[in-house]
Amino acid sequence: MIPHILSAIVFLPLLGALFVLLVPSEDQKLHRYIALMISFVTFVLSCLLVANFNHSEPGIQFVENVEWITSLKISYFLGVDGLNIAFIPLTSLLFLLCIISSWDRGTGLKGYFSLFLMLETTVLGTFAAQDMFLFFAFWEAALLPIYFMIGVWGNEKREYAATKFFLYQLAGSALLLLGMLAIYYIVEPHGFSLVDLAGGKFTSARIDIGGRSLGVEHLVFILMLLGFAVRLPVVPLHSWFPHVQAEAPPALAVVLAAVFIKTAAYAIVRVNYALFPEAASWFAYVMAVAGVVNIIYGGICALGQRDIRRLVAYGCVSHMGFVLLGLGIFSATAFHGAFLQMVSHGIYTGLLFFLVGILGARSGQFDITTPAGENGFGGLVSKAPLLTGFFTVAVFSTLGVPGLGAFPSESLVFLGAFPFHRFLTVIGLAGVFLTAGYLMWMYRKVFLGTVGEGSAHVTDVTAREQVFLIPLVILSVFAGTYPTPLINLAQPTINHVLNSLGKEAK
Amino acid sequence: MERLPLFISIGAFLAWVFVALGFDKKLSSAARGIGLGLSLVQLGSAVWATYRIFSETGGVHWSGVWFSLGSGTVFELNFNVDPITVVMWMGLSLFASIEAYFAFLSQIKGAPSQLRGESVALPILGTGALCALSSGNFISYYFGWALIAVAAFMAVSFSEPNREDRSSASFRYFILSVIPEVLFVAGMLGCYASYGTMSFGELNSKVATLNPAWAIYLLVAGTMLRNLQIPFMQNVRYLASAKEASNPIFFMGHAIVSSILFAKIYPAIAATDGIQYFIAVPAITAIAAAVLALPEQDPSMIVGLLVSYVCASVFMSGLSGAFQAAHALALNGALGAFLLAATITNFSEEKRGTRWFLGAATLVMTGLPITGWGWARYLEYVGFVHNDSLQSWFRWIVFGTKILADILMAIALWGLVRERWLDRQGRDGGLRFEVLSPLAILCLSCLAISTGGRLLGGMVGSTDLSAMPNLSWFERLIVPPAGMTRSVTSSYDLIGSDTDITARVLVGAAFLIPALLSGLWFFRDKKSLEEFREGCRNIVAKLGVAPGTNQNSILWVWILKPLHNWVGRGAAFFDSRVVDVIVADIWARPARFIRNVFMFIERAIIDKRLVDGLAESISVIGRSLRLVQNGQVQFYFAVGLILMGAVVIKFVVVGG
Repeated sequence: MIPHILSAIVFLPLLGALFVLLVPSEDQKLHRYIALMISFVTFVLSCLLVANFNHSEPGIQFVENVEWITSLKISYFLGVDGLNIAFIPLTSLLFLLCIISSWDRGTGLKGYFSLFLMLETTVLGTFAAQDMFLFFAFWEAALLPIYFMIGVWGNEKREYAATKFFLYQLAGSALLLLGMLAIYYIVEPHGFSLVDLAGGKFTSARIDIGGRSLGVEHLVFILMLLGFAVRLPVVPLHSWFPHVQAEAPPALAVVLAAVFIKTAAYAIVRVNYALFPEAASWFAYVMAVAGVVNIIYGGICALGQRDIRRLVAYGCVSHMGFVLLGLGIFSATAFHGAFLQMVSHGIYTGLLFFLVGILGARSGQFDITTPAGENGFGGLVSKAPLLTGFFTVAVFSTLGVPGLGAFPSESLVFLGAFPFHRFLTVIGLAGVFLTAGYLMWMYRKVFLGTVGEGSAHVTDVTAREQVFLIPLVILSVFAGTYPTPLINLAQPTINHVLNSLGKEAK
Repeated sequence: MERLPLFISIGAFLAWVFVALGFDKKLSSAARGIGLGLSLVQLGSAVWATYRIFSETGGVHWSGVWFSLGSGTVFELNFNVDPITVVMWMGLSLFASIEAYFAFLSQIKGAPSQLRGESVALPILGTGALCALSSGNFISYYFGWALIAVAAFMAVSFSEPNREDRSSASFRYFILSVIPEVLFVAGMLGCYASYGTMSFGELNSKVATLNPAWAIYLLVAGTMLRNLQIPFMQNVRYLASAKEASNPIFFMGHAIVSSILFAKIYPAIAATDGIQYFIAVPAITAIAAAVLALPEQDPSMIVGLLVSYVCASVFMSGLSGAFQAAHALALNGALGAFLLAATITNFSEEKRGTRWFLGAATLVMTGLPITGWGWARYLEYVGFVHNDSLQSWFRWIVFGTKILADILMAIALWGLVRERWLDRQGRDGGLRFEVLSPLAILCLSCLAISTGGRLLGGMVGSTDLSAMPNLSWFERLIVPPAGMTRSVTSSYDLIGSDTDITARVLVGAAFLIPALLSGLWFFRDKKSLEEFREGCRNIVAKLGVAPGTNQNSILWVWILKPLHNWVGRGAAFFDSRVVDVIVADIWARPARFIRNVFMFIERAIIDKRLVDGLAESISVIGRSLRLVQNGQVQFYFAVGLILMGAVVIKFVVVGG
């Protein structure tokens, strides 16, 4: 086993970014190969990590814990357990595929690839960090590469989107920082270790505000939840997401939808549920309601989109509602569903955004219908059958057709939620109908019918594009037909989390 | 061994999908040849399964954990093949093979190639249908349900993908399929939450404790709406489009979805109070389908309506307690409708074989007693007569409606034969008319025989069909699995008995002989073929059963037209154009309104007021600070003085 494998996985991309920066700007070929090689090695190491992971053990493994700032009790503390292990290979695979997809970018490869590799480090670090300060550092550090990538390589309204992204995330981070400082000062002895802080240490802590004694646990829980909700994104804190997805370069859009927003869902369990179990129980129903609101609101907004990128982005908002709904129900079934949804959504949404990017690159536009109501595309099935085939898989995966991506996860969420909140679950089920509505409408307008102007110059998927699409198709089928390995990875930890929440795993 | 035929069959279907995917856009003859080979492999597995079941060497079943959450939820796939489902499996495999064979032949002969997407749809449909019909629990069944919808969507979409009407049809089909799916899934979740099981067997064993029953109602409602019952009968139009895609196996899939759930969980359905009153829905659907089929010119539309009518028959029998009949109707209706659809799809006036098939399929579907559909009808009517769970008056209204629907559908089907074959053959000088006309008379007579026989033969009796000795091979097919019995089916012991056969022969003779004699008498002076043909045309015109013929006839004016007009108003609900308007008013418009409200909230409130407002307020604060930070020393000095003054007032004058 490679020593310090987790550190290697997290920081190898950063090292790669430095290598890329050291290579002269003109040598674009070398930029590409360094980025590819580094991301490939990172992915291989991630696979090794999973292969050596003991999935019967609920605790943290591959621990790397070194004191960093002793006076503040801040540690360099990395580790993986059932909650985050699946995200490490998923993240590294998606970054690898994104780098392949960005292979033929024309200019500015030095900055592009170095920022992209930096982003990989920050996302992997967010998943792996077990010290809250370190977690926050990675969480915040992710904003910079994204901001610059949108601002420099984005589409027409990139400055607006980048600014909006940054302001939103910064506002969320401010709440997070406030909560984090409160935690630090309340707990004795002070510290940031998530492992040490877990287990309901704040239950009895109270604070006087205006003469009223309030439970600190609830207050801090809400502060941090709001911080995570911005990134998740939860309605009404979501409006950065469609803008950013419409303006970001395709590879970044994939990363944002597939893994970046998942860091927030993961953080809710890792931080909020672990540190504030009582508040989590107290707030669970609100989370479930928020999940259903996300499902319906996102779905209806998606119905109103003409731009394919925004449509898919609102679809993501809707689908993250399933995660929230699952996390709001303290049953093992719903929790597993939420966890599976995070992973499988990363796969099929990644596929969908890759395809949207290909479509936009070919046609130079993203309008499903023009403002006059005419078809923006149309008839692509006869112009680009392979592209249509990939899209078909992505669309049916998103719809939750049995055997494809979303089916096990959404089934488990509904199955787990129904005994507890029947009404909410049935409303949430309507989300399936909304998903069918907006996706099939898009599919019909883009791929079927007469060939529109937008489709005139669309050529089929190339061999290189197949290289990054086929793995996601295979993974989507795998997640839909055989989710057992993923469940096995997470099961002990999820049961442990549920036990710590005082709920029987059932 | 008990799982091998199933695995081989599903494996062959899936391999076929990959073969279709792996070849060029226009499938080569090699791809089709492999597809044919694979379809024959799975046909062989179906034959093997049938042999195992009927020779009692063993059953075909398999269950395995798909995925589980340790001690918690288990997603189990459960497949169990009984005598009924294995015959449907045989039918499915047979027709899939025929489809592959024709596709292969057309390729060899240089006919236009099928698109790959359409070729993928067929085996997916086969897989879905096989999953549904052999399902032993909701998970396996839902697998089949969803795959059939996907395959149907693909079949409609990819047959001629650049046709706007086709893309519109596939879109609407899929959307209308999702609405019942939501109901079905809610019912499935309800069953799991209420009874703690996904297994059909376990659910049926809890018949005595089924409470509450709403989950079962949701399941039934979802399945009914999915299967072309009102108000979603308009999907028939899209079925017609699907059928044009040279994919008649589609019908089989839909019939399976409609009927097999009833067969699987009938004890649970029957144990619920009030479920029988759902019967009004298929009754209206059946009569509407038959009346709409009468003036219909488009043969594929007639077949679409026929499928809707078959599904309605299945539902009616199931809901009235005659679940043996439901099984038999599902099996035979699917086969008959498939045969008819396949014939129409491949119909050619030049091909003698297809002409005969059309006639044979029509004979089957008009209830010829020697055919499966005739037998099924027999069981269906017996079930109606002896259904004690319905109010008497309600039962007879429903029964009467159904018999009327049967007769009208038979007329519509024979109108189709006349339209597609006989008249044209007459014009071309063909010589089958004189054979077919007596056949038509024979068939309608058989319908009467069958009806009369059922009424007479099914009047008495007290034991269950499954306990009946000396079952014939066909009767064994319609005997349900052990344990799925209900007291209302008490008269089935008569089936195949001497009394039964005597009654049928007598009633048959009473109808058939006069019918034949009157036919001979009517045509006694017709010497030439032209005169003979003319005479037949006159009969048809007098009956007024087809559009363009004599619509002043008594039958048309007093019976068919009012009926058509009456149902026609209701039938507006089944007309896709009318439904489009209704859907636009009750769904699309409000949905659009809500969407606009949400978009307003999104843009005007969240983006404009909250986000931009926050940014604006920060900007205002920034500008204000800039006013203060103007860089002039005297300004800072003045501010300092004011602050000092404030401190002095606070602590010296007022007191700290």
